[in-house]
Amino acid sequence: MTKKLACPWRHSRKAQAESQLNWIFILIVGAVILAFFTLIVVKQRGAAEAKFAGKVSQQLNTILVGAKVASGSVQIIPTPDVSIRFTCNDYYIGPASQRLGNRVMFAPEFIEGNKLITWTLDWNVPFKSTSFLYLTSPFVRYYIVGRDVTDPAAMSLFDSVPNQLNKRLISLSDFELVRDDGDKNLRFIFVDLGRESFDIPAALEDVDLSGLIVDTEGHRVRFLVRSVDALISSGPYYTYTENEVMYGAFFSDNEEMYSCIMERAYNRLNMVSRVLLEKFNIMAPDYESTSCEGLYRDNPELSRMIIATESYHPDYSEVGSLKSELREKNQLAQLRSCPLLY
Amino acid sequence: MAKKRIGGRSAQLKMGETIAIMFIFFVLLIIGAVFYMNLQRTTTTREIAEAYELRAVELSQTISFLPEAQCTDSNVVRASCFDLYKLIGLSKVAETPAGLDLYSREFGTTTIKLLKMYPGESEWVLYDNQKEEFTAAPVSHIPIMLYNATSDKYYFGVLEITTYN
Repeated sequence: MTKKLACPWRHSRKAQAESQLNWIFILIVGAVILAFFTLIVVKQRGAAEAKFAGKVSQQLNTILVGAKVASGSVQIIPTPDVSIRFTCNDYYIGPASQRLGNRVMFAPEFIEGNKLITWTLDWNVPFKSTSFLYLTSPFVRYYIVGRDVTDPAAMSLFDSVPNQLNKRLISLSDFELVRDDGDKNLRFIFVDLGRESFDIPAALEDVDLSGLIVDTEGHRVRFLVRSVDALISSGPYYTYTENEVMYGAFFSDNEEMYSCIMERAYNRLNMVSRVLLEKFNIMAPDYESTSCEGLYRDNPELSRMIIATESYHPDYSEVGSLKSELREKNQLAQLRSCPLLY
Repeated sequence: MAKKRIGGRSAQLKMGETIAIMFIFFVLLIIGAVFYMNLQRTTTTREIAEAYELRAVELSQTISFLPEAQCTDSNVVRASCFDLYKLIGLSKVAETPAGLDLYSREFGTTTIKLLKMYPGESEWVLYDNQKEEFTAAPVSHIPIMLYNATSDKYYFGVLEITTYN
């Protein structure tokens, strides 16, 4: 009897154990399947984000190439709400990057938001060497600070940059009263104030800001960076021979990046000078014993330009005087009905 | 005893059934994954080929906006015009180490030739930076207008761009 009673009990325990084992097995397999699909979803999401960033950066590249075409044009380009990081040689959108190649592009280190402002200007020294592309966002506010709001140099700078920029012209006394209006970034351009540092207004303690000193008399600029409670000068003074170069410093907020991009610009100038020198030497034999003789063969101005721009920093005063000399020679070529130099 | 054996067998059968279902499920999953990957590979290959074609068009655009190639009158650019002598000058400068270094950032691993088609035929290598190893080298031909500054005449030409994959 006892044996008979014990058997069903043992049998039911074994069945229970087998059933539990079966459930544990199903749970483990279920967890493995779930983990597998979660992994796929996570990987696919990462891949989709990377693909999106790649596509945006590629499209932006096409837009930036197009923006270079029309000199003097300003464009407001709607973009996805992304953060773009610029370095001297590349720009990054998430994990995707694009090479800048030889393009001369001035921009803040980070641009955030869903709009881009592009401005293109030719760099003529005096022949076109390259196009400068300036990039910013409506979320960056530019304060042009003059001795007062009627200061001619400050007014001239204010008027020369595009109206599409988020810009304001203020006096030095108003600078201390600037408030945080919720802009992502503030950039102060101090024009002819003769000072090397500026105390940050109390209301801007937590705001991301940078600055630039512009000396329009000496044709030079100097970058300002934030210390604890002041904007202090950083790096050397940079000379500019053309306003286009100064605008580069206006839009860059990183001194090293500006210097690196300007080095590239002068490299381009050097290379274009070499190409023009070669061109004129090819043309020269056709103009022997004519009034055009002497304009082309081993053009001395171009030879000097090549030497002056051989390394960075170039010989700025030499570049300045060569500009005028080449301009005169081009006019001379026009007067004598010879092919123009540029 | 017989009942016990039958109970154990049925549990074993259940387990075997589950394993078989799992096995079939994973086999189907693997087949699906392989199919999807093959599809992706085909798409990627097509996209890469398209990207190389686009690169050639981009390069021709880049060249056409180069001040070293454009025809200008006092810095006013003549549209769709390439200055023949500037291009020949460019071909000489691009051969120098400094030139190759600068233009390789712009043109990468490509070969760009200028072919003057009419009147007369001539050929210049504007830039040559071949990849040591490449699987394919598609060639694109872009017709252009060449300007001779000394004779003030226009010629027909072609830019031959070889991109190395």
